[in-house]
Amino acid sequence: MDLPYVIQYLLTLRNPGGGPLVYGNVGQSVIPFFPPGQSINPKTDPGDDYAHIIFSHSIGPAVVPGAFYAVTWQGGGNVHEGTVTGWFIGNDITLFLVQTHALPSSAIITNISPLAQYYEAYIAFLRVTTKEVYDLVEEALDRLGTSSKLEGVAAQAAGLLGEMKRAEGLPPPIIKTEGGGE
Amino acid sequence: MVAKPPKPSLDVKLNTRIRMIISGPQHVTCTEGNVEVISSEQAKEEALRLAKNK
Repeated sequence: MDLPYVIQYLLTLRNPGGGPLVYGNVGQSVIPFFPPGQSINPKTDPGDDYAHIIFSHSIGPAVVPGAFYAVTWQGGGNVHEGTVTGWFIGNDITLFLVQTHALPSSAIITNISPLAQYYEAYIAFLRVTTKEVYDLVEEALDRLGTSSKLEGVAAQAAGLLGEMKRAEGLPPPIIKTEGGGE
Repeated sequence: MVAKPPKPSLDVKLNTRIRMIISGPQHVTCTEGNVEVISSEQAKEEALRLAKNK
């Protein structure tokens, strides 16, 4: 799986005290014997960490397509609801779900098939150990947004300047939109 | 006269204990149903104990 750019970026950040700011992790859930017609309602929080940023969810390939119905939600909003189909099993779902103790995530998984089933699921996430680290991640994302926004604005400005020059019959100016000044 | 075999029923499975094995630092709880959440380390220890007793 290719990591989303924002996750790669967060993984490159260093803690002011040394070491990585956030840690990558994979969580696994296995239910070896899931009887027919039964449901489970797991509620997940970040445990000893301050927050987990979940960026990928996948279902194991041994799960039978159409055997389960799943509802996942956080706070008042549904993250996903539907039958766990073959597509769902064959593809990773990419998301950016921030889980804290104040905002855990919940699910109801039901075996809708007439047979006992095997269930297996994975999540990939970043471990945000403390509130201080959480604030640093927030600041880093804020800076990233400002920087890409400025680059976008600079590119638009270069286009508009080009139009103005062309209207005067002159070649468009060469404007650098990234990197340091000369 | 031969006795009829008992009719198979799914009802007996409706309250079967479900074991959910979790690995990773996240904390998982199940408040409803007959569900037991255990860590993968715990599951490994049980599997090893069973293997040794065979």
